[in-house]
Amino acid sequence: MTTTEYNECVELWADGVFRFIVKNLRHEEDARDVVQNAFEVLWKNHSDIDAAKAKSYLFSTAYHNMIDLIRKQKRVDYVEEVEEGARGGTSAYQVDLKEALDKALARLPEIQRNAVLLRDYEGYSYEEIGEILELTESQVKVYIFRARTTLKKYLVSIHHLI
Amino acid sequence: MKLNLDNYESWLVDRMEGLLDPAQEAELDAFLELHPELQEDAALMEMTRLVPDQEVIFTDKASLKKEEGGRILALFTMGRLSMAAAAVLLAFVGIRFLTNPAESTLATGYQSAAQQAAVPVMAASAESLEARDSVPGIRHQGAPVQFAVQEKKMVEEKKQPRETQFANYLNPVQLQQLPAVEKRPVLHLNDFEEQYALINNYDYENMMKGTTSGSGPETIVDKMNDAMAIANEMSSVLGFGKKDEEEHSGSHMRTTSIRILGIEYYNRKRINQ
Repeated sequence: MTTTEYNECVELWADGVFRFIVKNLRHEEDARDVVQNAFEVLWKNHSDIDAAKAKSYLFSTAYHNMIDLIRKQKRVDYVEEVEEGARGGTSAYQVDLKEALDKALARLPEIQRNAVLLRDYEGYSYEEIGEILELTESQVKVYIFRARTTLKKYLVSIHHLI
Repeated sequence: MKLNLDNYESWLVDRMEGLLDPAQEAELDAFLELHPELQEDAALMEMTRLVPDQEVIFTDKASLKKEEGGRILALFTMGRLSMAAAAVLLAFVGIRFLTNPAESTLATGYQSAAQQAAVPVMAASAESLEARDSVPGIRHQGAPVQFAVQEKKMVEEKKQPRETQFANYLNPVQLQQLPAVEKRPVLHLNDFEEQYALINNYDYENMMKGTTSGSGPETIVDKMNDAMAIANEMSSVLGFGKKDEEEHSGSHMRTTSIRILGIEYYNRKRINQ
């Protein structure tokens, strides 16, 4: 990959990687660090990486950086926050479905959340998601199915509350 | 897999994922018609499709980008600089050989219209120098012809009075300094050495005593000149560059020329047959 192709990757994928990571971490500064680190790794190895593979390399690197960061920081506070919101009360009626979906997403197991994010945000195939998350295609399919049914159940409960 | 109340969610997800064929799509629609209580479920399943928030962007993309061709540009610049430095050094070598008849090289010089234009003082008298140094138009006839004419001229000039010879080899700036130079003590050197020793303020006393090489303390420029002279000789021996050979005044002459950055360097030698 040339320098020009690398810079094109920045233009094309920086936002997408950032959205993917920030949706997981829900912390912009940490997400920014993860993205910067992923691009640094990409640049360091750019001469060995084919431009066609750069996107999945980037997402994969960012994903693994993020997992390392999560494990280091043990960010359990998201789940607590989601549980608080999910209890409902008067505010639950004001929560729209999109917000509810965001919270439900945060409650998903990490692997399910990442599989469905890559699928919906980036339109990756099961095979590509498998490469990034180091899963088989059938595992990806199962995780996406579980993610969607869990999200749907959450939406059903919110819908009934509204 | 037969569609039923136990697995319909899997069908709903498969439809979202685009995994159903048209027949399966129709089967699912018919199933949902039969079970209207599942239609809300189906609608909520569709809502699990995540939509990226386009307002969330990585704001500082410039910090991630790398300068395109930066390294290449740096190398190119360095290359150009070193080539320019080499060109300057070659010019020094050219002058050195031109001024030292002890060398077997009779004339090493260069011509560059761009260089002449870059020095306004020189450019002012460029026409007169042209007229004085060579037969008009002779430069276009190739180096061997040009040098042959110049060498013939040098022999003729040797017969002229010393003052005339002296003035012939000075540029306009040097000519302005001529009155001051003429007041210097007369040296017992050959004409070329004397002229350039005077003009370049060489160390006369020590030169005469034999304690220096005749050009003052050796400087870095002298060392570089020597190195470039060796390189020039090697290029001549190894034979790269454009060669031309001819008979002149009973001697066999070889002219080697090489073009660097638009400047053509010549090396002219008398060779043994």
